[in-house]
Amino acid sequence: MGVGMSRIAIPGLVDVLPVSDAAMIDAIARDRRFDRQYVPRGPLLNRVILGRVRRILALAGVPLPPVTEHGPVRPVAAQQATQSRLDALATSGIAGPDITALACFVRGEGDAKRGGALAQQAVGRLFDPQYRVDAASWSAALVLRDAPSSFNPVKQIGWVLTGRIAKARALLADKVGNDPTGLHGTGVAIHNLAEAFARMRALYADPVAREQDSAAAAVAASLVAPKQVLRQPTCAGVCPAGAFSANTLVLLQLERANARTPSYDTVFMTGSWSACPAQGWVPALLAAVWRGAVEGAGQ
Amino acid sequence: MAVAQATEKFAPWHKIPFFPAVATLDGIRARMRWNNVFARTHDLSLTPPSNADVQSFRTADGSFNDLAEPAMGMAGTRFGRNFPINATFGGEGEVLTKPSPRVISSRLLARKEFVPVPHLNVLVSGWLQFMVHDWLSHGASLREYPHRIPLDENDDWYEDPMTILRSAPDTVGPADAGQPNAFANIETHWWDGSQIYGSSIERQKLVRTDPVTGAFLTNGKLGLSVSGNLPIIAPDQDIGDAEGGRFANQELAGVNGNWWIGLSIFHTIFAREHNAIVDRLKIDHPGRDGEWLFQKARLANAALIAKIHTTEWTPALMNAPTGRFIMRTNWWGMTGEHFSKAFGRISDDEAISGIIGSSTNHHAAPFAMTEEFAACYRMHSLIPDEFVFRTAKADEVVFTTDMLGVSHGQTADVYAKASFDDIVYTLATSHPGALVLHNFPNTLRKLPVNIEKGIFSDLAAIDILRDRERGVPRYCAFRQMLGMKVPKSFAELTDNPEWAREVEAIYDRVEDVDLLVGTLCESNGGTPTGFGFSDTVFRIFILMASRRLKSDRFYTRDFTPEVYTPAGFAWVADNDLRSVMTRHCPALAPHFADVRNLYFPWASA
Repeated sequence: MGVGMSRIAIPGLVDVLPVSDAAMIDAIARDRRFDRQYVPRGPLLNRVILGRVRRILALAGVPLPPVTEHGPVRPVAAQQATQSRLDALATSGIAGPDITALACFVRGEGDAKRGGALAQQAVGRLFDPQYRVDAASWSAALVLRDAPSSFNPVKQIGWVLTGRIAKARALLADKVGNDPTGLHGTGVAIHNLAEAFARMRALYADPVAREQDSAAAAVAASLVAPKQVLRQPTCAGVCPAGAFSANTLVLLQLERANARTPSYDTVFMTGSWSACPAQGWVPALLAAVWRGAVEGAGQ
Repeated sequence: MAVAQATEKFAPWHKIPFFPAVATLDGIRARMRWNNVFARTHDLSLTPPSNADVQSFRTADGSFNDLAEPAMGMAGTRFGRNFPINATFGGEGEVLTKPSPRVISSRLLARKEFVPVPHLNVLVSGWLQFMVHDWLSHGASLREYPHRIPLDENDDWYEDPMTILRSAPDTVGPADAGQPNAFANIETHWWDGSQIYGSSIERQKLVRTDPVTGAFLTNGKLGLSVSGNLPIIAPDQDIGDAEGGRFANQELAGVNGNWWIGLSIFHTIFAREHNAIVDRLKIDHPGRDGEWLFQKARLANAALIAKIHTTEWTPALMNAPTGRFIMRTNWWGMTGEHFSKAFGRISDDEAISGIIGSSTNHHAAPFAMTEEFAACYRMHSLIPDEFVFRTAKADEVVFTTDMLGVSHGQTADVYAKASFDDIVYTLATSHPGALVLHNFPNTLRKLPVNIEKGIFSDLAAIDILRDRERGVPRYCAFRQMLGMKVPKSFAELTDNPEWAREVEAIYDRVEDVDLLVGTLCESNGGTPTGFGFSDTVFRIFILMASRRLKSDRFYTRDFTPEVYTPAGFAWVADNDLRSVMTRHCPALAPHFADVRNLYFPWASA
């Protein structure tokens, strides 16, 4: 009944197993045969992708938390500590000038492209209370968004020649005190949040939705899952999505799965070892912004 | 699907010729099977009961219909949805009460003058509820924190604000974070006759109890009184159905909610039918025990009910060549009834040989009744306010009463004053109400909940509130998500300018119009010719009517003589409502002998 995609395997070139069914994703996310060691092996494209992730999504040579393997490199305790801190912020009530600014954005005020930067500031202040977004920081985030997945040779050459990726990473890391979670939050994950606020702004522009949608409904309609996350098998085998080898790259297509079967389990991979520590904070932030937008209308 | 997409751009299916219309409807259904079913599932792991053959019997609670996912469709599992889950959040705060459901009830729904459907009889109304009780019930509402609806100045309702109890949402689990409330169906979702047999083993044992001796019937039959009526048992013996206890003097059935005489006669007839099937099976299987006979008779009885609904009731309400054709095709396929009886299936393709006996397929989501389906079956307007009971022999008036006089325990009084045949005759020669604005029975708008305490409920207001509370999209959004043309103004909502003005006087925007109001408005201009309901609800029906059959193992893979027994299998093939009526009410045969469909008015004496 689910929507899975068949494995694409061209010897020597590529071997990927895309999975876009929520139940299958859930099963794979809990299956310890799939990890994020990202050992450069397998066909050419697999190696290219894995190499980029390792090179780009790292700070001082250490992989950022969302791409680290299970185990000692990123202990569960550290992840839980981050989540506890964010959950506490969520339950204590999210407010302040950043929320007001985002609510104004959702109401349609200002440039439609400004949502990402406003979100970046809100996230940045989780790691540095004095965090101030600027054109450079948002531009750096765009580089970190595009660099791991782009196959545009001109861009790739440009980034290599200018060292722009390293500069972008350094700039963003510096703004959050070299906190790797902060770097990922303000440079990579921020794009899902930016898209969520863009969706919320469009939702608010619809007078029917504005009046009828509860905060929970608005959050659900706006929430964006990562487009896809990677898993590398530690051995060959068979999973609900099909057969795989140790060289197969498993693409968990979270946003496609969430579009069909919306669930926090999919968006945040809740319940798995790789769950997003912001699984409580992000919905709380979106809800606070929606309420702020609705309550602030006409003021 | 391509034909459907192409033709629908120019005109709705009911405005184009027969063959393109059939192709369009087939495409619409195919599209909806993949785009308009969504599940709200639980994690339930079940082990098969050791004392029941789940392969070839229906279980009391509906489990193990799908052997790979045994909890699917069982009592207590959640309603699914016809729209993406994120589009089904219930309203909160003022969204629930503005515009006021009570104002809508009073000014748009209240029956001014009874508008009948001349080509149908009141058996239609009773049958409808008979079916709904098989498929679904939300169970008792929450007593805490009722919805409060302020009244208009001139409203004479007994309390201000009007209070309406909240629907009880299902228990929330970790996987429900960020999702809308889900509601559980306390009956089995399957088309399994659970309104007769109950949705629990305890209820099933009760209806299988001899009312005279109080002993469990070991012959496989259902308990009936000496006169062949449903038993009336003492309240202290009644464990109550899933919704609670029965009213005093009310007959016993698998489901007893919202009881009235129209329901009572069908429950009685099909309890008798069950016992007739048991008698027939016993001829071929004299050595089988009562449990085996009961289970096989249940299979055949439920299938016969499904067949009557598919090939008789629904075509009566869709009284047009296209409507009749597509519903009969669901059962027999395009090869038709006579070919099917003569040669059986010639293809697994449901279009050729029907869904019955084809392979099982849930399409995009596990099977469940849906909230939107429940909303589309809000058809209280079918019920008349007045009942004039007459003799079948001479059409002489026996007595006249209102809806309350035929409801709950009052059915015992009806049986005391009129014979069973006279009651059936009366309903079969009376007309139901039309599904239009201003035709909601006023009795149901002031329905006594507790007469001693002076507590009433307004079902019309409740209907409106329930849809809002359970996140059923409003009329325009509903149509938009079905891929239908959406009215841009109140004038486009209906061809009746007065109705358009009345609706506009209550709602700020056409997009706010509730589903029920929109579909009742649609009768002017949007209802296919000959249809008793709107095209909007028809879309949900065409999907779910097929799905009820296609998902059910006992109507697909296991609809075989081996599972049903040859005699049970033949019983389903050879019978219809006419033969059932002939068997249980033979004296009435002259009244329906010349009627093409038994849901059309019978000949008066």
